[in-house]
Amino acid sequence: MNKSLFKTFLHETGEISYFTARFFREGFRPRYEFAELFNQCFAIGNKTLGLVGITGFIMGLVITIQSHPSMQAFGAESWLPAVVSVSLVREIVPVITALICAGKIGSSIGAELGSMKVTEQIDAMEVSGTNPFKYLVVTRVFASMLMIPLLVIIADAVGLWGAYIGVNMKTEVSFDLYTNQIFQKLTFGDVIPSIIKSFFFGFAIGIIGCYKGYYTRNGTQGVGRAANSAVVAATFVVFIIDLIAAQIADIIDIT
Amino acid sequence: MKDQKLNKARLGAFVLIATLILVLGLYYIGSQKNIFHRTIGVMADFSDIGGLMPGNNVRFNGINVGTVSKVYPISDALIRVEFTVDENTVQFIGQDATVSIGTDGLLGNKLVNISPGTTNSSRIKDGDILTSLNPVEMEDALRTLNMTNENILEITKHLRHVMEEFDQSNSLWAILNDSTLSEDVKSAVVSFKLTSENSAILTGDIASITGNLRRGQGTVGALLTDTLIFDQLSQTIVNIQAVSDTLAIMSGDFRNLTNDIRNGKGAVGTLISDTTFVHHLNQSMVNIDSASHNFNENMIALKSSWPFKKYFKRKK
Amino acid sequence: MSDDNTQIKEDAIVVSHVHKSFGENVVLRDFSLSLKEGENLVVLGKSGSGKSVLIKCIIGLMQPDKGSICVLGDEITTMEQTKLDEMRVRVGFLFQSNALYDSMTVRENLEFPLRRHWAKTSREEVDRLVMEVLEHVGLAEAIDMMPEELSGGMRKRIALARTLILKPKIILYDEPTTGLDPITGKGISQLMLNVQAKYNTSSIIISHDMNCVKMTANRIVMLIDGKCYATGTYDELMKSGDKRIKDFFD
Repeated sequence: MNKSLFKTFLHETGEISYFTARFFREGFRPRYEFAELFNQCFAIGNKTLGLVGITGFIMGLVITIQSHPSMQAFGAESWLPAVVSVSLVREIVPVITALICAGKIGSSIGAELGSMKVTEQIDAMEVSGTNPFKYLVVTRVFASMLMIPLLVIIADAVGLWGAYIGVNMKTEVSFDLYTNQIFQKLTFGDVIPSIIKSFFFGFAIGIIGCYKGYYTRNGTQGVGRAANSAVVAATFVVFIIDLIAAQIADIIDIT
Repeated sequence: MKDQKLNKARLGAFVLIATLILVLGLYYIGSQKNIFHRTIGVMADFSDIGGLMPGNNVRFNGINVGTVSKVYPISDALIRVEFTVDENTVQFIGQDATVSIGTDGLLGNKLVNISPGTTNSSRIKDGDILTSLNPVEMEDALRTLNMTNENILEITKHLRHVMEEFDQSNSLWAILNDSTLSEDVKSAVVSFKLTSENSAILTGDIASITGNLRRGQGTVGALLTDTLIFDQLSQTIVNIQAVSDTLAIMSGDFRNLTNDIRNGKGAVGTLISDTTFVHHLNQSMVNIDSASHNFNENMIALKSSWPFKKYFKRKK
Repeated sequence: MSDDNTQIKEDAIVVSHVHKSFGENVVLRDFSLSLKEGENLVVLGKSGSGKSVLIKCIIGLMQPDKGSICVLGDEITTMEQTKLDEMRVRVGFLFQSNALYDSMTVRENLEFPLRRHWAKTSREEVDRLVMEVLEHVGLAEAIDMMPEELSGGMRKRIALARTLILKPKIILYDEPTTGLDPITGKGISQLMLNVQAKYNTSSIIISHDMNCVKMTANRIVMLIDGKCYATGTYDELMKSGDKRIKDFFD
């Protein structure tokens, strides 16, 4: 049982690697499906914006409220905006956004491609002379690669606004002072790695969702399984990437 | 088709807003780090920079004017620190400005402090090497503070000792007590007056003795004794001189002391000058005491010496 | 487009000695078949007998393990992708599940195969082609509907219209009437005949719906155990005494 599970895992990893290689092989060659890329960007970006915005706001607010007592205990209440902003921008917002997107985008890509696969729509595309890999996979992966960093940026902004409200629930800090404090503390080393990281999050979510959908088997039951395993695998990979990113940032000493 | 156009517009809005936030955010972060200001680069050499790193702030009289750009050793004992200074601040920094390395708060980041030079020296320019003051390390500062503490301990010990002495010494209290002091001084003056009166009498007596001598009274032995008298007499005069000198010094010291007290010099200073005062006063009183004692003795000796014995007897 | 006169005598599709297996399960073994110009050939077989695999090999969606497949004179098993795409313009494929794109309207579905030609085709020309095929399948009013709003028969017609829009020489039908009620199925079968008359196409029809087979077949190939079990017209096979053949006709 364990052995076959391990074998399946190896097989899956190999398949995803092959799928990724195919993405790079086909993604950077004409023809380019720009119209579909736009559609996917819209579907991934705008339609996730509300969810990500609300989550970002709540995270900013909650982290601030939760950090307040311990900061107060150290008499470092005035450091609250700086500390919260750094943890939001560096880690919490990118990861939470990626997890939300893994859930929403990963499952929708997995289910959409899965149902297209089982209803032969992918074959139909192939037959009508359109490369379904380019049309379906490349556009979705690029769209999530481009949109998730943008979602993270907006969620950063909304999260910092939530933190501002959180700070003002406990003490009184003017907006000017708040922005001064956070931008004093934030460095390019906080912002840029988190955005680079979210590119990879987007890539992983797109690739895994597409892979699971593209190789769906066993009819409608398979569609459900594709969507589900896309979410599970994408969530897992998001954490792996986060771990690697933290280690790389540590090694090349981006503080 | 219409729907698609609307979607594209919405996507465009989303992308633009996100990009705008990123650009503004990066700009604000950059502006805090003086990246987008026009700056000049200057440097300073230190023997020890205490963990200063590129990116640390540069402050001029407490405001951020730049950041440290590079830190590298240039010899086995010198570290060169290159840093930027906002061009708008350059006009306030002379070439004789001094640069030191400090800390933001007790536990904060290291930073470079620029103290302005004199106003008439020429302004700094790109590539200048500024004079450096080596940083006061916390440890060094604490060590010095420790030494200072020990010194203070020693001083207060002495002080306590002095105060105890002071407290136990009735005579000092008596001196410090104004009325007693003045009485003493008064009595000193009285005894001085007495002494001078005595001397006047003595002089009168001497005159009469010399008159007697001139008149041929007394014997050869008496003449021989005359020299002794003269010696004693001159000694007496010297003593008188010493007494008045000491008195003069004493009153001078007294004036200084009162001046000091009136000018309100620091507590310790006052105490120290107090001890001096006490010492001087003490000395003076001892001097006066011994002087008048000596004089009295002299006078007694004079009285008991034979040429005057008679006179004194007669007088009685 | 190719010159009809030079190919008139040739077979449109020649499948020879094709093997295809999925692991242990052998689907086609040494299977051969030829489709004549203008002919409606029905491949009859039970579910899972490998009929769909056969036509997917013909359109290049699957690769046979062994054997050769010639479509309009070109060997497709060794063809490169661009040539394969060109071949597919001339070979239409009607999927069993219709394979209409759920996220697109009927118009967009019909335009989709034309995407490769958009650079050459004007907006008006595209609209004209779309209307032409829609009118042909009798669903002009459905142009701005979504596939989910259509009934099964309508979807099948739209799927056929999408196949027709590139004016193929050959159409491969994968169980065209399965899942439809007999009357709708009959309508579809009639439409297939109309299409053949109008566009002069050759067809391979995969089916086990005997009503459809009876209406459309010029010739029938029985696919049993991965082999060509029998060949003949509907009447010939109906008279056959073979039990396995008789099973289909009873």
